[in-house]
Amino acid sequence: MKFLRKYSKNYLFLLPFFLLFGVFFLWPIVFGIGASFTKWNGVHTPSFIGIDNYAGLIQSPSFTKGMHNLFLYILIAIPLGVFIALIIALLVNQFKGFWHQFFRAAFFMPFVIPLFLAAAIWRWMLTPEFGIVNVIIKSLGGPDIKWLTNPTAMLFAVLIVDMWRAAGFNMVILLAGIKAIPSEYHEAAKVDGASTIQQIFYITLPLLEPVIFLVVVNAFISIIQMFDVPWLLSRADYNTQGGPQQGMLFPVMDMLGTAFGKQRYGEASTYAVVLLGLALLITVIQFAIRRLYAKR
Amino acid sequence: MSKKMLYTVFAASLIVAMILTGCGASGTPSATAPAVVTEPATAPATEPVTIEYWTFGEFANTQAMKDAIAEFQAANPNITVDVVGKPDTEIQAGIIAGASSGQIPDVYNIALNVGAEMLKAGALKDISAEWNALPEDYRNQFAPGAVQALNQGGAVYGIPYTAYATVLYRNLTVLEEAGIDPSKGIKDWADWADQMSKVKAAGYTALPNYSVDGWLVFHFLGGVQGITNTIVDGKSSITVAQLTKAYQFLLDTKPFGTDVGPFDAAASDLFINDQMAFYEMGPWADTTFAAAAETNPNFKYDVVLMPGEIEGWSGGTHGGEFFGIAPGPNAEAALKLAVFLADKAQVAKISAEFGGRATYNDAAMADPSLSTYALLALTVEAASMGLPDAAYFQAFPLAVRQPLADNAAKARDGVLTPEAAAQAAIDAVNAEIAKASQ
Amino acid sequence: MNILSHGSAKRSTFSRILRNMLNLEVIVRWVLAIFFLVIAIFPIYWLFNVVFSPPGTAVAITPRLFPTSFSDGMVKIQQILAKGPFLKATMTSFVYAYFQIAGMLLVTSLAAYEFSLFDFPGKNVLFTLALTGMMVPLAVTIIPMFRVVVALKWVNTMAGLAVPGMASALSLFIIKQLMEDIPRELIEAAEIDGASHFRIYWNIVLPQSINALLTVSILTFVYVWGSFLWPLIVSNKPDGYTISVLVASLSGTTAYTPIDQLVAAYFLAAIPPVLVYIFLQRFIVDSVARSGIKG
Repeated sequence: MKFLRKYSKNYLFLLPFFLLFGVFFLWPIVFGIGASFTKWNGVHTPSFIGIDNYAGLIQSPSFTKGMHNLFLYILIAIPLGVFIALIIALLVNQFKGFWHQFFRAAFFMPFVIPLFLAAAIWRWMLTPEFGIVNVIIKSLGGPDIKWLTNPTAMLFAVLIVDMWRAAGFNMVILLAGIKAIPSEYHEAAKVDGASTIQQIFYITLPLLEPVIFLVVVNAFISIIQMFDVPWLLSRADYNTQGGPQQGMLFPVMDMLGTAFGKQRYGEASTYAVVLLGLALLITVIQFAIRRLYAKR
Repeated sequence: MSKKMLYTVFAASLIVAMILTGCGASGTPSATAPAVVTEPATAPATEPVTIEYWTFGEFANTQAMKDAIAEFQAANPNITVDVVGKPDTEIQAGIIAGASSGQIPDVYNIALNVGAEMLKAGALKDISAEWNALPEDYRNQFAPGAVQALNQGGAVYGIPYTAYATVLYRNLTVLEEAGIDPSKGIKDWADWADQMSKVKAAGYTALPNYSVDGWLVFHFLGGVQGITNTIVDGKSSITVAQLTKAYQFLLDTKPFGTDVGPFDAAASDLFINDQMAFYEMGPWADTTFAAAAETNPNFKYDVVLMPGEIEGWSGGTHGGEFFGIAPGPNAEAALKLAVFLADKAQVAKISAEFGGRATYNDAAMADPSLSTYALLALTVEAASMGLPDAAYFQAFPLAVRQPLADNAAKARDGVLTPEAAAQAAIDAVNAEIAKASQ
Repeated sequence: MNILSHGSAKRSTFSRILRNMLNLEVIVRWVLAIFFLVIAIFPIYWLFNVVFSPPGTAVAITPRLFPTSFSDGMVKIQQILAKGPFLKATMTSFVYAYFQIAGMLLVTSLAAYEFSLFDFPGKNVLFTLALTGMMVPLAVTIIPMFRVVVALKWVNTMAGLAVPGMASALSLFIIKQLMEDIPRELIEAAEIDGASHFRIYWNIVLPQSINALLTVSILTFVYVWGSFLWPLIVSNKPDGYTISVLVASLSGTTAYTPIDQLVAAYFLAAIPPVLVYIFLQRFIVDSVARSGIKG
């Protein structure tokens, strides 16, 4: 009882959050895990089939394609995304006063545009042959990139839209990190004759490392969840997802199609469990690496 | 306002609003959630009942529909109809999402090609008893093919309603610039390919990219000689040879066309701006084109049947929608509404309001008020050939469209030969069908 | 300073500016900045130009670099306004955002308060559990979530829309991180003074966490405004459509909406968030920055 009296106020304050969390998140997850072991069309009583769903999932070509796209995307998007956000952050940092505020605000703007709009507009701009992006590329002597029909180009199309949106957001965080670096370091370096580039490499970047790590972890998590951009960009619906040759297929899209299009909720739940496991695994690995690295 | 006051107001308004909206839930005028599996006794005919009717958004907004509902409610004072207009994809999504919790509308319009899914979801009532009790000349109004599609082994799953067939739009300006005489028509695929090459030679583009979607592949599959159905005995009846022909045609005509898919804004841009010669699509595309022709008198186009592989056979795909009744206590009232709205008088009015939208109600289509709509006559003719857009009420999930499109893209990009792609596609289609019928 | 040196000071300022302008670094900086600026702003600019041009002009195939007809754009907007409940849907989206933000702030700040400043048995376990919420996309839990909402009879209600998203793990994480910076002495002093648990939260901790609260509010606002999967399922009557669902419904492949009116619909959907952003931009970007660095 003394225990309760001491901590009851703590648990009380935690209650609203965990009540909602339990009802609308934990229960669905548990339900989903349970459903992944059944064959169920969402209406009739589910029938237990053990791990058949998991076996079927691994053999499913769209699962393979989706995971393949996901890993490829992670490999490209994280370095590239962080790199570009970093460049923009360093760039904006070179400005002072009004222009600093202006560019910071302007680069953040794409983040507030509703995603379904961004996808539609970019789809117009990425039209092969006639779209503005290809017109510009061709005028510079480049090829006519089939952004919406060639599987490799399609991933880059997703990358373009995703980075267009997220770069500003990441930039703002990185910029704050840059500004938090005490100016004495830079002043001392300038006195020693270091150029801007040298200052960036030897002072800014190393001190920015924790912030960069945060941006990377966040990027991993959002990419695994990647759904809106490729769904909208490939004009997916419940019956077909990912566009020609499933070039923009990501696991969450396939999962939705399995659930609502093919009405195989058991299989769809399997997907959910796999994705959840993957996200947990990656996060754990990342923090472990960080801890190891920090110990050095 | 001090910060504290602000927060208090915030929190209080939240609590108040939640209570109010919680009460709002019970106030929505929806029917009592129908039991999905069992069939309780139907409510007595004179008790007041409210039924929920989901239909296409554009229908719900028409004067014809509003008048029809008013007329029905006047004739049936105990029935109130709640009309909800949605796009067709949302009707399907909403019913599937709602089916698992018994939240489906009492009567709805939906495509025949998802009939099997609706059945699986328990959202369709067998109305054979009531259907057979209807007067014979009512039942004879409808196209026999549609009635047959809805009749599965004695059970009747709905009443036929609207229909569509894909047709070929031609930009006359571009054709003339390419030295083609539009009045000569298009004999067959060979002739069409020839015309496309002339168009390309004149500096224009011929056709959008039809390998981007499986439904679009169906359009070309429909042009293959002799193909009339998609599934026989639980397996796809589309042969590898037939699909190869379709893929081959897409590959052959690739140099003359563009990579832009027909669903993209850019495709209709090209057509309207006299840069593309052909555009094959359903009758709804005419809305955009007609509007464009009105504002730009230089834009001239016409509509013809999509050519098929050989002369006298046209391609394209066709399908339609029907009235589905959900099982439950409101089924009787729901069926009354469906019978009323599917009747030729109402159908003719709605069809007219859409510039001649095709329907499965032959009697309505014969109505003189619709004789002026050329697109309607063409659609009806196109529907008699080509390929139905699915095997209605069989285990033919629309998910088969994915491998059809994927392999079309591979054939077109040269990743696979048309024959290898066709084989892969048919295998995948059969796998989907097998899974769906488990 | 005598008059001669004053003059030379002026001259050197002028030449300094001139030297700056020709400075390679400055040029590179500006070129890059303009390049990225164009990329950032161009899509919205494109949309604006497409809307304000005569009907029938190409949407995707010709570069739309300038708006060409203000009146035609207004006509298109009028036409599309007649085709769907735009005003209502915008209001619905605003209300939905408001409720979800309000509820989220209350619920997560209470929990973050505990996690950041106090110790109790099971604290780490509970926090880790909450973190898993950040790793799961909505699509994964959406079907069972819907069944719960149906069981609560919250379909087609604002509660059904807003309540499930209130326990936001990401918001919890951000607020907790920033609350940790609050000096413990303040808390201890208040406790010694006999302040209740709630009072400390309300009078001390919350006011100090304004940055975090603002940040998560903005993130939630952007998210809610763009979300279409959940409102699609929960709010399936046109009366209750959010703006995202409404626009999506008008742009289906077989919809009878001419493209001219469709782009007007897109434009209308973009106006509220952009306006909100332009007016509050200073606060928004500042608070995101300050919270991000602490994370």
